[in-house]
Formats: sequence, C-alpha cells, structure tokens
Amino acid sequence: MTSFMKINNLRANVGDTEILKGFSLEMGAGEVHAIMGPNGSGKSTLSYVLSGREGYEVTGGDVEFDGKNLIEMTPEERAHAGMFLAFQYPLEIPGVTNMTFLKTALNAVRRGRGEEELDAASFLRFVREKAKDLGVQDDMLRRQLNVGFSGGEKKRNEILQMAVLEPKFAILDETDSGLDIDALKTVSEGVNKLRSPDRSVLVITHYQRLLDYIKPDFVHVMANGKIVESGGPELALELEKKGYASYLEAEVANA
Amino acid sequence: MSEAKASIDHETVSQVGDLAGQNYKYGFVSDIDSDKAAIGLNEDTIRFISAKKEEPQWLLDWRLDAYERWLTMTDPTWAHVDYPQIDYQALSYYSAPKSMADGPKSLDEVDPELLRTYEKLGIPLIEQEMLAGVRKVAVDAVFDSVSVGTTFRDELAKSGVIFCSFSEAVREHPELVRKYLGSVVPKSDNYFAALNSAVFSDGSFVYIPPGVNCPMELSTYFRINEANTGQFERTLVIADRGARVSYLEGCTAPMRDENQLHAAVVELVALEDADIKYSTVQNWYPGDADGKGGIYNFVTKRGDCREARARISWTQVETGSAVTWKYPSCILRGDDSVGEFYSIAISNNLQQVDSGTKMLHLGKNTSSRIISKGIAAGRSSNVYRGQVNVHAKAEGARNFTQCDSLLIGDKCAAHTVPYIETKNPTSTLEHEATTSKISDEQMFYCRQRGLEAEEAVALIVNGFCREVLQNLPMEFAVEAQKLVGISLEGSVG
Amino acid sequence: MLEARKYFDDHITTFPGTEAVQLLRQDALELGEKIGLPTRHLEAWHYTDLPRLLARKLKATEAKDTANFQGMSPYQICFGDGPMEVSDALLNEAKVKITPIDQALNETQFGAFKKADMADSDAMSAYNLALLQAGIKIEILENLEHPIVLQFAANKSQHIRNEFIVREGVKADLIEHITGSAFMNYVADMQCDASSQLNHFRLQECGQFVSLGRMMLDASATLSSQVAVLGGDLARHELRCAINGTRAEANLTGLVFAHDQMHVDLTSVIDHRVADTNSQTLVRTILQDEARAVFQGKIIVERDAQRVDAQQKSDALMLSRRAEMNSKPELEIYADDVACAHGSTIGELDADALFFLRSRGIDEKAAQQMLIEGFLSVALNEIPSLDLREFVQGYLAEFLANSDLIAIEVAS
Repeated sequence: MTSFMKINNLRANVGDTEILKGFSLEMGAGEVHAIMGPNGSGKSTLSYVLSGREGYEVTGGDVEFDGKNLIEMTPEERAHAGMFLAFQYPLEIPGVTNMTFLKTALNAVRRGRGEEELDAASFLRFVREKAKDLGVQDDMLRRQLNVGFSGGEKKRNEILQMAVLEPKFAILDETDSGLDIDALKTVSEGVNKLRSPDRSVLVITHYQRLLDYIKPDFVHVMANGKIVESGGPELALELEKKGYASYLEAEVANA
Repeated sequence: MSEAKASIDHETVSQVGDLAGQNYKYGFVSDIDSDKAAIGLNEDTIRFISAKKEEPQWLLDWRLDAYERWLTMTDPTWAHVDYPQIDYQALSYYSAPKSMADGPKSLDEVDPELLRTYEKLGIPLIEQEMLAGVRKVAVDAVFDSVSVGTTFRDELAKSGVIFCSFSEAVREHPELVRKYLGSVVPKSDNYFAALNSAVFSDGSFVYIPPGVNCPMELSTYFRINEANTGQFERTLVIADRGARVSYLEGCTAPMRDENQLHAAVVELVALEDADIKYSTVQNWYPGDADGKGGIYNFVTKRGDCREARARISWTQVETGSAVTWKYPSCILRGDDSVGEFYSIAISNNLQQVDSGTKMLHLGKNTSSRIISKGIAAGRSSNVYRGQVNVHAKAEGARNFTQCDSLLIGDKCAAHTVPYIETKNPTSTLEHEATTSKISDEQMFYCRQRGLEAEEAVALIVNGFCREVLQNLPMEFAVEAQKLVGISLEGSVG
Repeated sequence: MLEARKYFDDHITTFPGTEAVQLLRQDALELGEKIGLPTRHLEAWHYTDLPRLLARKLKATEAKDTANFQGMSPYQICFGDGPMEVSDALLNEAKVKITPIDQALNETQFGAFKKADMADSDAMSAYNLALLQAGIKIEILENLEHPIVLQFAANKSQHIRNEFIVREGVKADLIEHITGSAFMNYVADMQCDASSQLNHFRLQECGQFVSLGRMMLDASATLSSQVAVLGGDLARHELRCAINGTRAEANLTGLVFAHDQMHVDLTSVIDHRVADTNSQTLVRTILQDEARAVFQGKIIVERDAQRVDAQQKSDALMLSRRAEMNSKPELEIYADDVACAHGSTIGELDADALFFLRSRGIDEKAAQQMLIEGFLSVALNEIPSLDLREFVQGYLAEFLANSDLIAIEVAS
C-alpha cells in the first residue's frame, strides 16, 4: 500500500502551548480512518494544522500528501491539491448565494489544477446532478451560504460542497456534533456516496455513533496530542464501553 | 487618527497648475489664439465660455449671477476630508477636446497599469484604445462598425425621447432647459454648485415625454469621447407625467483626466407618476499608492419628486477619486413619492470618501430607503454622512436606513454620521448601522475551498454589497462586481 | 448666562478663592467670551442653540422636588441658594474624603481645572471656572453602605464643579437630583480607578441644567450611568467617557419624558482607547406638546482598540404634532476587529398594542400610560442597584399617573 497521506511525528503549537506532540498516521488511497478522542486531545487542532489555518505553528515533523510537502502550502494550494475540510461550525457568508460560492470555489480549484473553468450552463448541470444525488433541494442552492441554516442543513451543505469539489482527501471535523439521528443518517448517507478508491476520508469524532453509519476501515484513539492506539472498527465499540479514561491515565503515567 | 486623514500631496495640486498652460486644438476652424486655454477665473472667462458655445443671453446672465454668488462663498470645511487648498485662479476653465496628435499613438504608449485594469475588466481592445485616448480614427470605426450609435438615436426619436448634450439642448430645446435648470439645485446651493453653474462645460440633457417608458437604458458611455466632458458637467433629466427612464453614468474603466477637479451638478425632476432610475459606476483615477495625482470628485446631485407618486432612485458604486464629496439627495415633495439611495463606496490606499444622502420628506405618505455599504481598506477614510428630515406637515413619512461599514486591515477608518430629524409624530424612522471586518474564519473557510485570499475578499465583499448590486442595471452589475474585486487589490497582505 | 460679565462683576467678591484665583477667573471669563456661547454652528451643539434657548420667554418655572432621595441615605449634599450643605454623617464618614471647593480653591486647584478643560471646544467649562461658586471633591476609599446623594436646588443662577474619585476595587453609588428652578452650569469629573464600579443616577425635575460629565475608566472599571429627565425648561446632559484601561465597561442610559416646551439634549461620547473594552448606550425618549429632544451619541474606537464591542440604541415615541426629535448616532472607527452597531427608531404609540389593552377592558388613558411606562422602564432595567431601580420605577409610575400629564394628540 502506497501511503496517500503520511503524517510524520507532527508537532504543533497554538500560541505557546504545544497541542500536537508527535502525531503520526499513514493512510492509503480509498481508505476511511476514524480518529476518536476526548476533549482537549487535539482533534480539531489536527484538522486545522492539516488544512493550514493561521494561528497554528508546526514545530516539528512533516506531512506528505500525494507526494507533496503539505506544510509548505497555503490553504488554497492545499485545496487545489485536493484537500477538503468539512468544518465543525460552517461559516455564514451573508449576501453570497450557495450557488455563487460553489461556482467560485470549483473554478478556483480547477484553475489551480490547470483545468478549464466550467461555464455557467455546464456548472449548473454539474451542481444540480450532485445536489440531486444527495437529495439536496434546488432552493437550498439559491439561499445565502449557511445563513439561517439549521445545524443539519449546514452539515449537509458541507457534504454537498465536498461532492462538488471532488477532493482526494477529506477531513470531517466532528461532523456529527449538534445533529439528531435523522440528520446524522442523511449526512452519513451523503458521505458514503462519496467514498471511492481515489478518495481518502479522515473522520474525526467524539462519539462512536457516527461510525455506525460511516463504517471506517481503521480506528485510532487520540489522546494528549498523538495517537495512542490503533485498530479496526471494533476498537470503536471497545471505546464506547471503556471510555477514554484509561488512555488518559496512561498518558499521565508516561509523561 | 493621523494616517487615515493623510492629506493629498501638494504636488498633485501644482500639477494642475502645470497642465493649465497646455494648448488644445481639435475640430475648430477658427483662429488658434482664440482657442488658447484661459487660465484663471473672472467674468471674462465666463463670457468666453458662453460665447464659444454660442449661448443665448439668458444663459450667460444665469452664469454671471452664479459667479457673483460664488465670489461671496467659501470652500466648505465640515466634511471629514483633508486636501490642500485649491487655487481656483490656477485652473483652466475651458479647453477644447484633446487633440489626437497629442495623445498616445497606440496602446503601447499607454500606462501599463491602465491596460492591466482594462484587461481585468474584460474590456475589448478597441474600446481600450478609445478609453486611453488613442487615435480618434479607432473610435469612429467602433461606432460605425457596430452601428450602435445610429440605431439608438432612431429608436429614441420614435418615442419622442430627447437625449443629447446639454449644449445641444440649449440650442434645440431652450424652453425646456430654461424651465428646469437650477430648479432642483439652485445656483447658490453650495460652493461647488455655484462654481459649476458659472463655468459648466457640458453634460447630458434628457427629457421623457408624458407616458413614455424610455425604450432603452440611456448611457453616457456613448458620449465619453465626444466633447471635452471633464471638469464641470451639468446634467438635467426630466421625466414628465407617467414617464420612466433608467440612466447610466460613468463606466468601470479607470478614467484619467488632466482636469483634477470635478465639480458636477446633476438635477433630476420627476413629475406625477414618473420614475427615474439614475445609476453611477465611477472609477475616477484615485491617485497612485501614495495618493499622488488623483481626482477630486465634488458632486451635487439632487432629485425632486415634484408631484404625486413620483419616484427617484439613486444607485452608485464609487471606487475611484482621491477625494470624494457627494450626497445624492431626494426632495420628496409630492404625496406618496418615493426616494431611494443605494450606495457602495470603496476606498483603498489613501483615498478619502465623504459621501451619503439627504432625504427630505415634505409631502404626505412619502417614503425613503437608504442602503449604504462602505468598505475601507489600505489607509483610507470612508465616511457616510446622511440626513433624513421630516417636515412638520409630512404625515406618515417612512424611512429605513441601513448603513454598514467593512474595514479591511487596521490602518483605515470608517465613520458614520447620520442626522435623523423629525417634526411629525406619524413618521416612522428606522436606522441601523454596523461596523465590522471580514472575519478570519470567513477568510479561512473560503481559502480552504480553494479561493486565493484576494478572491475570497472579493467574494465576501460582493456578498456584503449584494443589496446594492441588485439595484444596478444588469450589465453595470456585472462590471461593478469585477470592479469591487479590482479596487480591493493589495488590501489583503 | 447671557449677561455673564455683568453677573461676574456683581458677584466677584462673593466667589470663593484666593486673590490670585480671582485674577485667574478673569482670564477664564475672557476665554469664555472669546469662544462664545455655543450655537448650532458648533457641531456638538448642532441641535441646541444655547443663546436662543436661554433667551426664551417661558412662564416662570418653580422648583420641584417630588422624589424623596433624602430619605434614602444619610449621605447628603445640597447646593442651594445659601452655602453648600453637607450632612454630618457624610462629613464624619471615614471611608470618604470630602474637600469642599470653597475651602480648597487656590491657584494649583484652579490650574488643575483649566488643564482638564483644555479638550473642551465650547465655552461652558470656561464660564464655569470664571463663575464657580460651589463644588466638592469626593474621594471614596472603601465601599459605603448607602449612596451619596447630591441635590441641586438653586433658585438663583449657579455654577458648580465637582470631582468624584472611586478608588481601586471600590463600589460606589452616586445620585444627583436636580430640583432647583434656576440656570445651573455643572461640570463633573468622575475617575474610576482600576476594578472600581461607579453607579451613577441623575434625575432632573426642573430648572435649566447644562452639564458636562467627564468620566475616566481604568482597567476593569465599570461605569453605569442613568440620566432621567422628566422636567425643566432646558436640559443638556453631555457625558464624555474615556475608556483608558482594558476590560473596562461603560453603560450609559437616558430616559426622557419631554413635555410642554422642554428642550432636552442628551449627548454622549464614548472613546474606546484601548483593546478589549465594551460599551452600551441606550436612550428612550417620549415627546409631547411642543417639546424638543435631541440624542447625539458618538462612539469612537481608536486604532489600537481592537476587540471592542460597542452598541448603541435610541428609541423615541412622539405623541404630538408640534414636537421635534433629532437623533445623530455617530460611529468613528479606526480599529478593524470590532463589533459596533447603533440603531435609532422614531415612531408613535403602537395602535395595535393600544387596541389590545383596551379590548381587555383597560380604559384609553390607562392603556396609554401603561404603554408609555413600559416603553420608558426598559431604560430603568439598566440601574444596577435593585433598591434604587424599584424606587425609580415606582416614582416613574406615579409621575405618569398624574392625570393631566400625558397629552396624546390624535393623528388627523
């Protein structure tokens, strides 16, 4: 298995505090990995560091994505290279319709990849198809980006964007937070539809329940800024029973 | 406080003095001497201008009266703008259109910055030549080949719409001009209006006869290179009973002009059930990144909803000029009349904008709507100054005002100064204002989706301005959106 | 005020201060005359042309004292027609340092006043210095059990200057009550040291009161100020709040019931000079008869004052055709990471709400009073002290229940 995403001993700070303390992970193309961990383990920091958000300083290690050095790249360059982050709290941008945003983003990514931009008609067809696939109504496309959307609608919109931008690597940052069972099912269905051999997905979650719907190939436990245990899908069920306490104690003992 | 109020370089003003000495010659059969640009302003200058245009006595008298009043007035100082004192005696008040022999011979000779902007705005090469002042031959070819010029004149003639230069209107329709000129902006209204009334060069005249819905949008674009439409434009638009017209002024391409001071006056008159929509997209040269060489844009624009159910709507996208001072206003005289003001004012580098509107509610059941979006970047200063005034007899007046400011970077400033005054208890006035910046989260979200930082800013700012952009006629709206992106270049570090 | 010099010459020998001070007063008078009384040409006095307002020939106003703040606290100060009176309880209170002006007015003190006035562009503080008759400096060193009550009961023209200092970590309550019928020119400097809390409440029942309050807040200080104007021919309450320390907070509230020929001007300037500070301004105004009310609220956020949250709201109801409301909420923002907003509404009593109350059996007059009281008491919710809040709410209800007071004209 050639590693599609290789994170080596990554260390990162927020301000003066070290949050990622030697995080390592290898993912192959087409694989779905889940990272579970208690609050404060650095899960969100991981997703922000991988997507290049300001305020996070990489102090050690590196990340190789599809043969490229990810840490050197700006956020939009990472997007052009095929990275997608589904935000835990998707942003509202007043005055900008969903449709406009999707078109601008898609064409930006295509340009970044050296491809031709889609003209209005082709784009419309393309988006409508993706929307239909995911069961997203036309009127959601016309609404202003995330303005007045319910939690579930915002998350579904993230998945729609993922479908339109066709990333090679997607990080789902606590996509299940704030969703009820029905919304969870709908969002998960969407994600599952987007699984493919060319696409790797990193699912970050606090609760096991999401993994009933998005079945991972591998499960990792993250505590204190790094991975402390890895296993198959059954690891998630074990965690559900044991909780995170034993991992945290072990970390404290090792510190 | 100091950076945002940085004043325009004195060099800029002296440049104006230098240019005043230039000689222009174009299309005049007469003697070279009589075409020499007159420097300075006195009664003779005015007589000279009026004679050159072959104006009737009543108009010359009108100009002279305005000049007398101007002499008694002083430069306004209350606006939040800072510029070196203008020496009115060092300016030229009349110059024939630029000779093509003096202009650039081809686009190669044109400032590459200017060309870059034209390209970004998607302006075709032929139009670029026209805008940059390259050979007039190219211009004629455009019009003749496209035949737009002739087609539209025919259509308008059929419906009785008069759309011509102000000078032509004085010759062909003097009774109309005389009836309405100065009836909305009196000669003594303010310093720049008085100056304009004395020395105005030319401008547009529009008259829509009763019941006529003007068959096309009237645009000044076609007039750009005709006469010398620089400094002191005078425009008069009259919509008779039940008439409707949409008028577009300006264009997105950066307009350089040797004349630094622009003091235009625009008067709109809407009679019973008439509807005037006046849209401006202006990108006067703002000066370089150090604020040198930009244009001062001091404009008095006012619309009179003279009779019942008249409606006037101002929409503007201002991204240029070194210093802008303009307050398009509406006098809501007729019962049930409506006034609207939609504005986007963008300032970058060292630009200073002090702009807004006045809505004067006089009649019964009048309503006004003000949506102002100010975006400040660089080290610029952006001020909204508005007045909503409800007269004691103005029953049932309604106003809604929303003025929002967006600050990009921490070296610019945004101010909001609204005056909300009412003497009538049945009025309902609502005013909201917010000041904010583009959040880091919004920027990150866009960039994570593949947008470059400047693309993200353009997208978010266009969203911020959406309500105003929706009010522009279609083709202007598309251009304006591009312009918004371009004018914020370099604002995101 | 219109004949300041004559007044000066007539009364100079009675003014407190050393001989050297008398000369300095002369300078101040000349400065005042040079600047001139503020007219509408001065932007900050755009809607209040003082000479014209002072020259109005209104029917003689009487003193009015209906709110019993005297019973609220043993700490009382009264600026009446005679010498200033300070209650023994206050004089003997160890947690407070009291320095009456008339005893302490020397060159140094005068100089300090002049320095504080330097930023003023109108003549009122200069005249205040020139004609200064009474005043007090109060330094609150520890928390007190009761508020300090100051009563302004002059029936003859008076110029007063006070200084309040709340020391670090101390909480103080200040009540100012205007009951005199005369013209009063009042300048007050209020300093809130770090982590202090000053609760300020002012009620004007009558008189012609022109005042300037200059408040300074240090780090983590909180200022809460409510100004209620229910009577008096002329009211100008200008509050200038300089937020100098981080995490400091200012909450300004105005409550106005303008009737007859009152002219009420609430002007506030809140200057956020440092980062991480908040302010809130809330004004509620009712106008009837020929009254004129003005609200000018300016929020300044200086360049380094990031992460400032400044909100402002002004709502007015007009009940008559001859009244006039003018509102000028200003924002002057130089920092970008801020949340600043202001809103202003002007309207009339909600006809639907009136109908609703009447359909439930409440008669028209009572319904109108209920709506008006409800509208105004939103402003009272900002009073931090529960006791005071209840007191003022009760007082307001009684004030409005006066059957002759409310006069709503029916729209034609």
